[in-house]
Amino acid sequence: MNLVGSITLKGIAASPGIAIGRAYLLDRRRVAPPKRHITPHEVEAEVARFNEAVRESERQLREVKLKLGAAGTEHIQILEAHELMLHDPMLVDGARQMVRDQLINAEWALKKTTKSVRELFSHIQDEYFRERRADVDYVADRVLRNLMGTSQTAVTEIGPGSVLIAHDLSPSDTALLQQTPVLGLALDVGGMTSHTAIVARNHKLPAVIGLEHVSDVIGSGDIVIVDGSAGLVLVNPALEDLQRYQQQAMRYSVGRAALDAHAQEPATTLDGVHVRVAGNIELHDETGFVLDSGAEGIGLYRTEFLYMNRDALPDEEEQYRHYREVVERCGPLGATLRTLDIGGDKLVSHVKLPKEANPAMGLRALRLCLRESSLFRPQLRALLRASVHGELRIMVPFVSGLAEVRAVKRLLAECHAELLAEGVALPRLPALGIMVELPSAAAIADILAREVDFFAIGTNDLIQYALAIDRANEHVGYLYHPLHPALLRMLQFILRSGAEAGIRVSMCGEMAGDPFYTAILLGLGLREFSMNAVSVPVVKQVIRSLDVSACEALLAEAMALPDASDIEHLVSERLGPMLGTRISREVFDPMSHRP
Amino acid sequence: MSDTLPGLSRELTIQNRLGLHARASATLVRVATQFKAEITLSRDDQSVNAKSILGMMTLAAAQGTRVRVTCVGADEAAALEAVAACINNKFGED
Repeated sequence: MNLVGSITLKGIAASPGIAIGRAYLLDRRRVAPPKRHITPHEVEAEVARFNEAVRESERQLREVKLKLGAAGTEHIQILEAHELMLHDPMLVDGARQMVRDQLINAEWALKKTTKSVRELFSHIQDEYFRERRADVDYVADRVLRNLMGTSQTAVTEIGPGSVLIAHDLSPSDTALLQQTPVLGLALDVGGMTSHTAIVARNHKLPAVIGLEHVSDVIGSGDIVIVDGSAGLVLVNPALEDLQRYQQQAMRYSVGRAALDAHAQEPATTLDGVHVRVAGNIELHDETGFVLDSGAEGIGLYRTEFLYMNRDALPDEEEQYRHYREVVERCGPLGATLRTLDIGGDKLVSHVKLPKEANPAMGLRALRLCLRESSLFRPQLRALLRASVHGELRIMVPFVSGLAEVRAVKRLLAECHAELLAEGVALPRLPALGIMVELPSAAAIADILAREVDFFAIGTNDLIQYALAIDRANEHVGYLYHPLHPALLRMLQFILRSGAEAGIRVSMCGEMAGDPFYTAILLGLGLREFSMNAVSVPVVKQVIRSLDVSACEALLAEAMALPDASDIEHLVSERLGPMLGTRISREVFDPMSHRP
Repeated sequence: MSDTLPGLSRELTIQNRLGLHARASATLVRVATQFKAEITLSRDDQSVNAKSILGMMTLAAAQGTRVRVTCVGADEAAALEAVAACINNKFGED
């Protein structure tokens, strides 16, 4: 049924590619329950119907738990709390009592009880506890659907050729997503770093999220185009749009397939320079996928994601298991693990941070870790223990000066001595490196290079702090220029300082994964990149299509220009001829956020 | 010891770092539902049923919160000991 004419919605491009198919609306939340009064002699039957719906809900939760198996420990803890809620006196006994006392049907009684329980949570100050009302909704909704016989659709029931449309996905939905034949995904909620977005990228599912109203305007069966590269969703598109997208999707998948076929081949330039292209991960179980995409090891493991979306902080043992798995899978290619980078825009609900007027410049990342050693020590110990099992490199974020580096070294030596005393065999200390992402660290790169084993340039923060630009701020976003002469000079100094000290320098910000900047970065002397899995085959192919001496010439011209826009113009003019026909536009353009 | 006190009620401190969050509440509910006695947790002027995971989470009891446990019923003594042990053992966490 077509609910709407042709419309286009704009959201966040969470996972590139194009999906065209029939909408499958996974309506998780908005069920309008029938409301009616019952007679006293209907009461027992109504209560029995309610009890049956609760039993059915329990059965469904058990089934989801079984499907998750050992892989979903965190999800299972959530599901177990949900199971207990199905027996909760406030919710379930409350609803039964209301059927009897107020002579209303079970759906209505449940709706009213849910509302009053929700209200109790709404008044709680603490964010973690207040947000548990979402769990109340999930559980009540499941019972409600079972009552109404519209049994809760599981994502695993979705047929082939479908595009999944939903307000939000529950943790169990997301965990099961990889087992479905879904072509693409469009959600009302979510951000780039939401778990759903990460899972979508890992499974090459085109996805647009943060659409706000997509689940309201799309009905099951509508024809939908999800353009995960541009962040667009077209509903019941006009014929010419449909044809255009079909062709684009075809060219994209052909171009992509050609790239993926070569993904495992090394990235060596036309003039024979080998460049290392590694992958970024957020969670340990992404490792296999990233390596399959052609990444030569892990250049950035953002360990803070292990701390997010959960009740309790991971202990040393759990961290050790995760880190060990990653380094073991990487083998000789190795993995660089970044220590906790929280605060600023990344919050972990159970780590209490003071309210700050300017969190971007406040107590975050390494600063927080050095102050809260109860947070930092277990991680350092877990890293040291895992380092026995492979090529593990430790990297600390947000370094502003030498004192911090020395403090980390002291702490690391203490943890090392502690472990040795406990009888843990640790033949050597792993390599220690820093993120160069603050202008102060960039300016003293020559000094820092003598103290550490490697550098990783974090361009997202470096650009933000060097230009004093919050990219998400619509009023100043136009000033965000990765090719600003100030940035190029900093990058040049960092790379030269690294080369003089004889240490490795990699880059792991978004700039590294954007093929538009590859030539300039090669010209600057960068030989190690780290990026999201989807970018790996693209950037590798771009590297194979370039000549380092031509890149150096391009850089020399760029460094002589006075303004960011002149440099951007130069690069976009030269890049086409430099690359020739060695990479298809259909793949290059969606991956490149050229200005 | 509780049996030297009048009535079966005891004041305890939530000691685990995360307080009565979802998993700790779930652990406590599993202990409480093994007993017939009515078990109540109170904090300031708020009282909740210890057999209700939702009730306990609405207490929003962080680390260091003082709570009063009250047990009424045939097996009240055993219930109080079990609940107190669960809270004092930090719900098996930390």
